[in-house]
Amino acid sequence: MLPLPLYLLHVLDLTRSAAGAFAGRALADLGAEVVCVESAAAPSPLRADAAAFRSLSRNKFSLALDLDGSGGRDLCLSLAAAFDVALVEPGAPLDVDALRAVSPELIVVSIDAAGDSAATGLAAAAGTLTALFHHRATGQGQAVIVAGEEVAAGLAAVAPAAAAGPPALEALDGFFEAVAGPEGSVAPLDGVPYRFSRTPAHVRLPAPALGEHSSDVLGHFLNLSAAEVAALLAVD
Amino acid sequence: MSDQPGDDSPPGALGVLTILDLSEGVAGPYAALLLAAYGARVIKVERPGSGDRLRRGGTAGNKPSPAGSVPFRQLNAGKLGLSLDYETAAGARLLARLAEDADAIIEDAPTRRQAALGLDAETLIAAVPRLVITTVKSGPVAAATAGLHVFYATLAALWSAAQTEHGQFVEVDERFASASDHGPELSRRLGGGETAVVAAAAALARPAQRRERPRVDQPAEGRVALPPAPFRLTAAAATTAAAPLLGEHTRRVLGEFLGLEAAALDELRHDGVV
Repeated sequence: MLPLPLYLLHVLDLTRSAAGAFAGRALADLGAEVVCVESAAAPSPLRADAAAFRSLSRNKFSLALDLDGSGGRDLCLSLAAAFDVALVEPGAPLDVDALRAVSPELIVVSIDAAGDSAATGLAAAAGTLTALFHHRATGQGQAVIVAGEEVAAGLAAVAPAAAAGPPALEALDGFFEAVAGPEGSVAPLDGVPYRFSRTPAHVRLPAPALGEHSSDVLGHFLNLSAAEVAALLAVD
Repeated sequence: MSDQPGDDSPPGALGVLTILDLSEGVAGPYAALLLAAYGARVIKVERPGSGDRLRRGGTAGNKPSPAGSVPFRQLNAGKLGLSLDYETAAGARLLARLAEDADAIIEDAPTRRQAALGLDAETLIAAVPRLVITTVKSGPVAAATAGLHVFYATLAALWSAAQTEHGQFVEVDERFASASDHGPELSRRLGGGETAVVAAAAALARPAQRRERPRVDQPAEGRVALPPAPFRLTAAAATTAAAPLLGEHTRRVLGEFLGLEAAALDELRHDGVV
C-alpha cells in the first residue's frame, strides 16, 4: 500500500475562518499533517458550532499556543521553520512577511475568506500543491495569494448557474463514514469526496480537542524533551 | 491567468506536467484549464468533426463561431487541440503512445476509453506505471466547484506519483464533491454525534437552497474574458493563450511529440482517425 498522497507534508494552520478550515481539511484528508494553532484564551471560533467543527477539523491536530505573547509568537515561528506550509489570513497574528522571513523554502498561503468558504478553501489547497511542484523544481517557497472574491468570480465565469445546496442524502450512498464522537459514541460524518485506487483516503481522526496535541507537536518538531515541553506549555 | 510573464519570469509552477484532457463539458475541462494556466502542457483530445459538445453550446443568441462558443473558449484557453478518434484501432494506438509521455489523463467517459482497443484501465496503468487517470463522474448540475475538486485531486495524485513513481485511478463524483462542500451543514443535519445510522438520516433531507454567485460580463463575441485564476503565485508565472480550433494542433502533437511523418498524418486524416 502506498502512503497517502500528501504523506510527510507538514502544514501549520494559523487561520480561524471556515475558508481556512476547508483548506486545511482538504490537505489533511489526503494525508498532510495539519496542525491548527489556537489558544485557551482564543480557541477557534469554529468550535462554537460543534457539528460543523467535527466536519471541518477531522484529520487535524490542535496546538494551544498564545500568539499574543512574544513567547508564543517566537515558538510559532520556530515551528514554522520546521514546516512546509503555513496557512494564514489577513489579520492573523503572524503575517505573510513574518513567516516568509522564517525560511525561503516555506510556502505561505494567504486566504482572504470573502465569498464561498468551501471553494476558497479548495482553491487554497490546490494553490498549496501548485506551489509544492514549484518548490520541487526550484527549491524555493513563495507566498500564494487566495482571494475568495476572485475564486467566486472564476467559478461564476465558468458555470454561471447558481450551485444548488447539497445533494439529497439518498444520493450519497457510500459517502459517509463512521467516526468516533464524544464519550465513545460513533457518528456518521461526510467522507473524503475522492476515490483513489492506490491511496484510499478516509477520515482517520476525529476533530481534536483544544490543545490535544500540544506536547506531541512541540516535542516532535522542536525536538524538545518532555520536561522542556511541559515548561513551555505551563508558561503559555 | 491574465498575468503577462516578464522577460525573466520563471516557468509556470506545473511546467513539468503533461496532461491529456479527454473530458467535455465543465468540470473536467475547468480542471485541465487550471493545470494549463499554472504551466502544464495540456492536450485537449476531441472527436474529429464534432469535438467537445460545448463548442456548440452556451448562451442562446451566440453566433456560431469556428472558434467555438464563449464558454468553450473560456474553459479551454491555453490547451493544444488534437482531433483524434480513439475509438478506432489506429486512434487508440496513438492515444496509448501519447499516454506514455503523459503524467495524467482527465476523462469523463471511461467507457469510451475502455471500449477502445487496448485502452482498458489495466493496460494503460501497466504500460505507464506513473500515469494518473482521473475520472469525473458527472452529477445532475454542471458545477464549476467540481472542477476545483478535480484539479485538486489530480494534483494530489500527481504529487504522490512524483514521490513514489506510482500513478493511480482517481474518481471524483460530482455529487460527493458537492456534498463535501456542504460538509458542515450535513454534519449538523446528521445530528452531530447522536445519529448512529446514516440511512436513518436520509429522512432529514430538505429541499436544496439556491445560492447566489457573483457574475462577470461575457463579451458577445471576439475576445472572451477568461475566468479569474483562483490563486496567485508570487514566484511563478501564470500563462494563457486562446482556446484551440478543433484539431488545430493535431499535426504538431502527432508530428513533434510522436514523430509521425506528413504522409502518415495525411493517411490518418483520410481515414477519419484525426
